Amino acid sequence: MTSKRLPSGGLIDRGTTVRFNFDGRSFTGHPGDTLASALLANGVRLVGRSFKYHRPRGIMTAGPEEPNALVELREGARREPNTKATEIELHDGLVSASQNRWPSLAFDLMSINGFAGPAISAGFYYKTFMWPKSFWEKLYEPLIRRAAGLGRAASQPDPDHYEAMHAHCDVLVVGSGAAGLAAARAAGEAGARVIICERDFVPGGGLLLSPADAAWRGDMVNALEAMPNVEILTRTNVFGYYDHNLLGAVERVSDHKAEPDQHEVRQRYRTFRAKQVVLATGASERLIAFPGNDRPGAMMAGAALTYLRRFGVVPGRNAVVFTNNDSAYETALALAEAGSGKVTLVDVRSQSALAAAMTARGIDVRLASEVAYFDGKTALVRRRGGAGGDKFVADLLCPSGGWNPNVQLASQSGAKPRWEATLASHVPGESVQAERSAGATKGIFGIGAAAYDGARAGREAAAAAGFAKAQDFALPERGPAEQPIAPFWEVKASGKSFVDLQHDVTAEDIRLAHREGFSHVEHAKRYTTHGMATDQGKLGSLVGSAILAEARGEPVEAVGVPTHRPYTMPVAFGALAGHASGAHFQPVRRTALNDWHLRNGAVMQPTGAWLRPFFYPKPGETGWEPIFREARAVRSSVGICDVSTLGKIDVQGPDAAAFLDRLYINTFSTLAVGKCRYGVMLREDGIVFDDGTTSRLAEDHFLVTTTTGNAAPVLEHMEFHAQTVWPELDVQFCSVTDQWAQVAVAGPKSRETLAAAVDGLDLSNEVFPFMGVGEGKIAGVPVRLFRISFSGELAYEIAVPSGHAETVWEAILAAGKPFGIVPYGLEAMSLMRVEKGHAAGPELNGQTTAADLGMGRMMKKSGDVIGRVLAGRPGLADPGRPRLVGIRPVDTNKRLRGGAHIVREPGSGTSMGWVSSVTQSIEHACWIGLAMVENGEALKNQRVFAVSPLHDESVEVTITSPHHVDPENLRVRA
Amino acid sequence: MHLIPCPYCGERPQDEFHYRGDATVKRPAPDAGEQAFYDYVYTRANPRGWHDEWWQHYAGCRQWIRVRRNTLTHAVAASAGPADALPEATP
Amino acid sequence: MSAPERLSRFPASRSLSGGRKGSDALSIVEQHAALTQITARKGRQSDVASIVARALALELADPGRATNGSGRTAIWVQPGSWLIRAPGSERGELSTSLRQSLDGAAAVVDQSHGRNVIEFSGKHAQSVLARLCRLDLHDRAFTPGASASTIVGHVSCQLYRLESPVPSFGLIVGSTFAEWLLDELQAAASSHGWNFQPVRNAAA
Ligand SMILES: [Zn+2]
Repeated sequence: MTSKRLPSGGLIDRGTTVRFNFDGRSFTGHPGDTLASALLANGVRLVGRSFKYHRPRGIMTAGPEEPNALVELREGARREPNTKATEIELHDGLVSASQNRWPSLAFDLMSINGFAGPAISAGFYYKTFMWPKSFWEKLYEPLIRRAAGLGRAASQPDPDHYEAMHAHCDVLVVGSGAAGLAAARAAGEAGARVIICERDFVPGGGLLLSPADAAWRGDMVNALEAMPNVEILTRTNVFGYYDHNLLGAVERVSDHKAEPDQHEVRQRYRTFRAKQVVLATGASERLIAFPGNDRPGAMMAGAALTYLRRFGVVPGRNAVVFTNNDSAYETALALAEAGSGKVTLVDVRSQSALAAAMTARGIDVRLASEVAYFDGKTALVRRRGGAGGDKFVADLLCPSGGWNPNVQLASQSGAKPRWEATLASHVPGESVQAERSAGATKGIFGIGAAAYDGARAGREAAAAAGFAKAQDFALPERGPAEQPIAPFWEVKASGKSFVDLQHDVTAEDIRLAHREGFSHVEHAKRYTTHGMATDQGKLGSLVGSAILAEARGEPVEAVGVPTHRPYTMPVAFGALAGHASGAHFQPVRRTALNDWHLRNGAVMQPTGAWLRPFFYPKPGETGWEPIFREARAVRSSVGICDVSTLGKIDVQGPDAAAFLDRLYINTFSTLAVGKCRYGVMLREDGIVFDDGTTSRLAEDHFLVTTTTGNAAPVLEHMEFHAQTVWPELDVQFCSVTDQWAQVAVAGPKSRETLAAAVDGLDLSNEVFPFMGVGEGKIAGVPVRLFRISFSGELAYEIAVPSGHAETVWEAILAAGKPFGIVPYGLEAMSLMRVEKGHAAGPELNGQTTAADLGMGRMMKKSGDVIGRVLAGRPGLADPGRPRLVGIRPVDTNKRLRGGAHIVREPGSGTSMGWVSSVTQSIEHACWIGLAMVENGEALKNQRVFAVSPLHDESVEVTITSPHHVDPENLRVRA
Repeated sequence: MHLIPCPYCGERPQDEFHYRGDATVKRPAPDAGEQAFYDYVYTRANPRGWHDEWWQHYAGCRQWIRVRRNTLTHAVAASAGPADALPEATP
Repeated sequence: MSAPERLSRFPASRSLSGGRKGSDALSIVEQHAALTQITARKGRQSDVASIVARALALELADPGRATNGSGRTAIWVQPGSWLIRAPGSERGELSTSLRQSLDGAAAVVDQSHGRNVIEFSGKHAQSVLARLCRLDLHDRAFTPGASASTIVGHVSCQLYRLESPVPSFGLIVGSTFAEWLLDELQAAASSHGWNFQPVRNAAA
């Protein structure tokens, strides 16, 4: 136990103790701790094993850049892998486990990989697990999975809820450090709507490490909380910056609880549409590559300061701080103040004005020096580039290679990062969207300077959003300027110097990538997997680039870093899916008769967004029995079916008829009022788009029906042509699909049934013939009647204002009772339409022309029609194209399959077409089908084969007319 | 999620719109012949940069609007109603 | 007409006081309304406006607005087209009388059964709607009288803000989507802690 809790200091509540569990052991901590700080306070040094070499690893950072301390959080259905101990807010009852170790953390058999070191170099997987192919599934993949596993996902459904929320604001501030708080305050004082997002559970960022600024932080947070126009969101990480100033974030609403409260979501996916954005995301400390920089006890200097100042934890006893810049001096001081053991400060720079002050505090300062080796117990410190050196007992080694401004979001917004030599890092480039960076994000360090810059950015952002009022408020003092950083990336000494700890990428791997031709930074990244782990290279990406640059003989800025893309931090799929899972996955559309179907035992099936009754099984019925019973009732007597899902479009205006003439291949201007007509419309490329019946209700008033699936596309097609192609036509139309429920009453007894139900309309064949349209009343409800048929029987469709649908449906059922009326579902309807040979979805598949479907002669002789010209292209007009035909098996015991190929001889490799729809027929007591067959007309009555290699089936079939039932069409006119 | 400025409804998120593509092609006269219709349906310049496109505000005012969008940057310079013209050119 | 009229299957309009975050009432009430869509013929927009103003004492709204007059509301839906909302007692008759007075100046289509009208109100109404809708409904951005055709709960909706001391919104949705939307509204509100119960005296 080399780390421990200090008796005082930090932002933890020592008065309260919380219990938690790590790898089966119980520990205690305090509110305000992270899992990482609590583990350190308990002296836990080893928290995980590395990805490739299974090297033991300890806590390296205090934030989202953590590469090592990945743990499985919670148990059972709530188990979540790959969470960072440095990001987990401690709570009572927290259960966590280390991962990527087998069989246990302390004794890991896989660490043999480390001894096999050189074998597992960059590109190892690409080179090794290639041949033979048959080894992949059985040997390589399981091996890699075991070796590579980064935690286990829960295997049960996630019991928690997630949701999305969309916010708008004038100024979005990302980050609540000195710059962020000042920016939000300035924008808020100006009157703008401000949202400030903080990833952490406490606002303050770097202020949390500065006891001297605690009062200012408190004042600022209080002032912001008092402003009604400012919203502070903590635990909210902004992960992406998208086009048109849209930013995405995840709010971890209840990750700090064992279980969410009742009605509470676990995480909330948030979007922000901001007029202006201030990025105050701070900076991340970068690694130095030296042998053993991954050993437990290695901890970034800034992280060590965080554990000391924020959590009151001393992360080690004897410390070596290794730096090329001033910031780590504060870590050395804080360690010395904590007063446990020896503190050595190793600075690569040959001069430092701060050295004397350090020495005065008992810190051993070694200038112009470097750390050549660290093994967790001792560190070797030598003159830069020299040999030998002094060995120091050290259980804590704190590197600081300088600070990288967190330019990720700015970069995602389109601002190309710019190299800033004084920082040896990138700063945000020129803004492309309405954003500006402030404070450390922009390379302005120190609390006072960052706050001053943040206030400026907040004022400017508010003014740009239209809020110019400026109001001064107190800002912290600006400190003295720092000494220049000495760019320093790697200590050249033997041993593994890591640039990516999570993916075990070493400096040597980068050089290997270069030697093997992967010299572009994007190629080197993918070849070595550098920066591709869940910490996304926050610690070492630039270090890797510098090593690559040296190998290429170019400056770092010429090599650059890989492009920053969302997400800045890992995001759970559950959060992105939000509420839209399970029953809420997509909208459900219910007809007005939905309740009746449910009450009467219908088996409901989603078809697109709609819920439709498939059939209404009676007790004991199985398989096709209910379908046959329903279809037989229609063919022999009468049935009733909910066809409300048909698209219905009300078309009016003096030019309504002219408009429809251009939409459909056939003519509607000649249709008499009170009649309807079947129509076919094409796409402009000549392929059939949709079909349906259109009724003329008045000289200038039509009702168009579409297929269920095409209701929305047909309306958009009509709108496009009316608005943009023929704006001169005086025509108005709108969807009335939901206004009218529609019911089909079909079968030889349908007229008698309706005669008993309908008032005010004579249904006799003379007065109301096939394709007639009329109005009447059923049960007092005014309805429209259409004499049309999909089943091939005498049939009617009745349109009823949807609120009265059930009344009318029940009245028809009562009227049909003497004839044994039955409700029939989609399956019986489909059976009958295949028997009748009506083309539907499988035939209107976006490949067929009107001629292919046997409707070529419907095309009117003259006039402008959408699709007419291109339908005439030779390829589409070729009479040899697949044509719609019927098929029946020669052996009536054989079943047919949709999707089967039509061939001359079994085993023939040449397909003549395909089977589009099949059903068991009640008219023919065998399977029947519709097919698209080349030269189908000429093949009538010939025998061919329907082959389905998937089922290893080959069925001899006879080509017939597609009309398996009543080809003369007498029944519908009876 | 882009913002599309509808000339009737103002800026709206992209998921309220359906995209149709090139708004510079014009449906030929019915007797213009096969090649003219072929070009209308299939031939596209696919420019890098500013492009005039049809977008339908299907979840809003249902108008097919012309949108001048930069295919490289996704910036939108202008929009116009179905029967209205976009400005001459965008630099 | 005596036949019962079905609204959505939503058992009854609902409201409840007392969520997890306080005691602010939130209510979802389904309204029985008459709805008629009128779309002006080419070049007849101003005729339509003056006829409706005369016949119903109702100004037709500008784009993005809804106007009130004599207990009815005119909601702009698209260029030249408005949805007129009137009390449920005017179902049928509203379309008939508009068809008569407009006399060919506009296409008149009854949508009383084609759309359901839901009123949603409460101090946190905007916060709940922010889970379902991407528009900015803040007090500064979407004031009473503002109206938008937009997507709410993944379906197309006419959304408008009512005159009311607490934030109140009208939602007009295709009747076949009404149940879906009501379920989504409840779910979005429940994550705030509200749990809806039927209330008496609400529309059946
Ligand atoms: Zn619009």
